[in-house]
Amino acid sequence: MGKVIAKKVCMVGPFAVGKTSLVNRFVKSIFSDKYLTTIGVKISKKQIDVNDDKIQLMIWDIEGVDVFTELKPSFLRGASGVLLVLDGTRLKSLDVAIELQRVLSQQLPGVPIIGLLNKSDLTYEWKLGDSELRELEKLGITTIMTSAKTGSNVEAAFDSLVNAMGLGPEGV
Amino acid sequence: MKETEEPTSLNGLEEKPDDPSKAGFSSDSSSADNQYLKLRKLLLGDDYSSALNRYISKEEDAERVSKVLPEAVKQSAQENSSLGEALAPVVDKAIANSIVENPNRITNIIFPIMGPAIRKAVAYALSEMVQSLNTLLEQSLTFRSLNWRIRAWRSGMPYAQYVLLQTIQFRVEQVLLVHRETGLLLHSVSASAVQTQDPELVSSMLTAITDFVNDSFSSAEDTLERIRFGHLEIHLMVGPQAILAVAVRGTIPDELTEKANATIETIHARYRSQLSLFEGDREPFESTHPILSECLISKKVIEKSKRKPWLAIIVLLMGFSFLVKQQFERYQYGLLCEEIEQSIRQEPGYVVIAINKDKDSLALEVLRSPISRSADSVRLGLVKDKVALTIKDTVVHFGPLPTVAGVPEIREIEKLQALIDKLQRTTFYFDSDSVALSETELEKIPGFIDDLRQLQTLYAELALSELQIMIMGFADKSGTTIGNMSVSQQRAETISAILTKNDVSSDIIVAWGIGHIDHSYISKKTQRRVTVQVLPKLTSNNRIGLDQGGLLWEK
Ligand SMILES: Nc1nc2c(ncn2[C@@H]2O[C@H](COP(=O)(O)OP(=O)(O)O)[C@@H](O)[C@H]2O)c(=O)[nH]1
Ligand SMILES: [Mg+2]
Repeated sequence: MGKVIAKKVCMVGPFAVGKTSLVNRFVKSIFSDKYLTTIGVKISKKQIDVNDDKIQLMIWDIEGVDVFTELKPSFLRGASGVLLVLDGTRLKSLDVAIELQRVLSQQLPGVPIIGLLNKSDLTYEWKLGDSELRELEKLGITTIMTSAKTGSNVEAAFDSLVNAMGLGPEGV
Repeated sequence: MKETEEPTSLNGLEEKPDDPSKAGFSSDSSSADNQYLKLRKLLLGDDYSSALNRYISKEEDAERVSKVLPEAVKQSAQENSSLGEALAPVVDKAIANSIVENPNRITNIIFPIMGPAIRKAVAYALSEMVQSLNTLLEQSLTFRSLNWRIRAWRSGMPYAQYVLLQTIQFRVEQVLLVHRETGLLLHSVSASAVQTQDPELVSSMLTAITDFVNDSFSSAEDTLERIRFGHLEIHLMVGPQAILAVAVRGTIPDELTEKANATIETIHARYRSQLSLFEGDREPFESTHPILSECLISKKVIEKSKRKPWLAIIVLLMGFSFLVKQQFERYQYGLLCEEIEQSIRQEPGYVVIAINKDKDSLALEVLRSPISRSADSVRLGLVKDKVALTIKDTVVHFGPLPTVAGVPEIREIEKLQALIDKLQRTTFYFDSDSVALSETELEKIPGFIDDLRQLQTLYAELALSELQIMIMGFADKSGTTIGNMSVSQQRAETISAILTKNDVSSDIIVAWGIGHIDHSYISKKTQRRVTVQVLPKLTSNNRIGLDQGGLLWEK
């Protein structure tokens, strides 16, 4: 009871899908934006209470345009969970997701991945249908529709990641 | 699966045969078989079952060998080295394989051992360097180094070490122990009253930065050691599983680097399993608190601006008082000389014609009448320790002392005095380098001779001893001493020649070259002159005093 457990989690996904926006929405305190852009990483901290324990999430957010060249082993190393963020208004998102999943399963075998289909507020531009969702599920990725703009499902997204990491209320 | 227990072979005959499956036989139990088995038992005796097992079970072999292997290896090693030789290539290969497979494992194992050994070697090299630095410093001798030398001596440490300590100023503000793989904070301590950043974020950031540097400069072995911004410097001691980050304000001393290295090694040695099993729970690392706290050291440079430079002040004061004392002594000496001079001037029958004042000697040249006290007795009466007094005297015959025949009339005497005064006030001036009188100066001659004749007559009337006049020549300060001497002598002789030409008897004239004796405040023109003294000096009881008014060097 009353334990503090620290975990490293990573935000992964193409440029401009809303990774940073999601983290900003989820975390109130942000550690020096300016400094970290130089090294391509932004790290934020968020503590959530699960039962009696406190889970301290150190959220590593990648900064950059080309997710594949910038997804360095050092960025992912030691992560306990990954949020794979996609833009629901872009159809190409699915291909990217498949490729990213391949990289992640190599670098972080056995680490849970939650897929976030972001920008759910842009319903009239929504491109990802049921068939695409089923593709993702086949890869072992649970998906959640989120909106960093409205805040919809943002907390839920992080909660389900914590659950998948085996730390949730129903966890071990 | 383990097999059933081995049958006890001691009473094997009565025993039922083993499970056929185990024995490898598969036949229905018939009486013929039983007979056959009995026969075999009789032939092979007690060893039957074990022999049987030996043939049929490799697993059994492995178990048996494993039981004796350690002992066998031990014995073999005691007897000879052949086993070691045989194993060497195998072991080599095994280690090589292991390293290729997982280099981290071997790094993790040797890290706590290698660290101290390397540091010792480096420390040795450094201490040698410090030695040479020491000798260098020993050669420099400034006021401060002298001061430090004394302090170092008092605190019983080598001078070089003390100097290093004096020049180092630092403060460890925060110490973080970071899990290397995840970048998560394991434990942190910070100095009291120090504003520190969120240690959890900082530790992740440091890991990200280290990774960034490693990735960017693709250096697998080297790791980032220092991050500096402004006066804050973060030192990273990177171990295989954990990083110790020490945030220091100021200059980092070697002492601290060594301490931090030792700390990260100790932590690796003590927390090996906790580090590899770390899942985000920091609790096991709370016990690192004391070791981490030991790194929270600081050192301040002694405030030197507030200190008064006492030694300098004392030296200055001493110098100053010495000067004052010297000046005072010189002043006193001057007074003493003047005193001596005065009393010699007042000595009856003495005429001072030259004074030579030196740092510690006073030499006077005097003319004196035969009846006056001898120079020695005057000198002895005056002698003071501090002044070496010499009196060079020349006895001048002034003629018989006035024998008073009847009391001269007061009017006559006053007239005599007035005449003497007038003559003695007469001064002849000369042009530069000239020993002849100019036209204007020559005009003084007739009046002078007139007065002199009157005086001679008065002398005769009053029946005083014969008159004598002394002509004294002076030179200005330009030219050599000898030159001045001769010029002044010639000037005196010029006047004496004019007088004799005008029928003044040469018997009563003494011409004397004084040279240059004047103070510099007397104008050069005035310095080139001839003055006159009327001799003899009359004693004060007949009120005819012979003063030295004609001598300009008397005030
Ligand atoms: N409408 C809408 N815009 C979003 C949402 N999330 C992010 N954006 C916008 O998408 C752009 C890129 O977001 P950013 O967080 O920087 O993406 P990142 O590159 O993945 O970190 C920004 O202009 C955001 O305002 C969302 O949920 N809805
Ligand atoms: Mg971003």
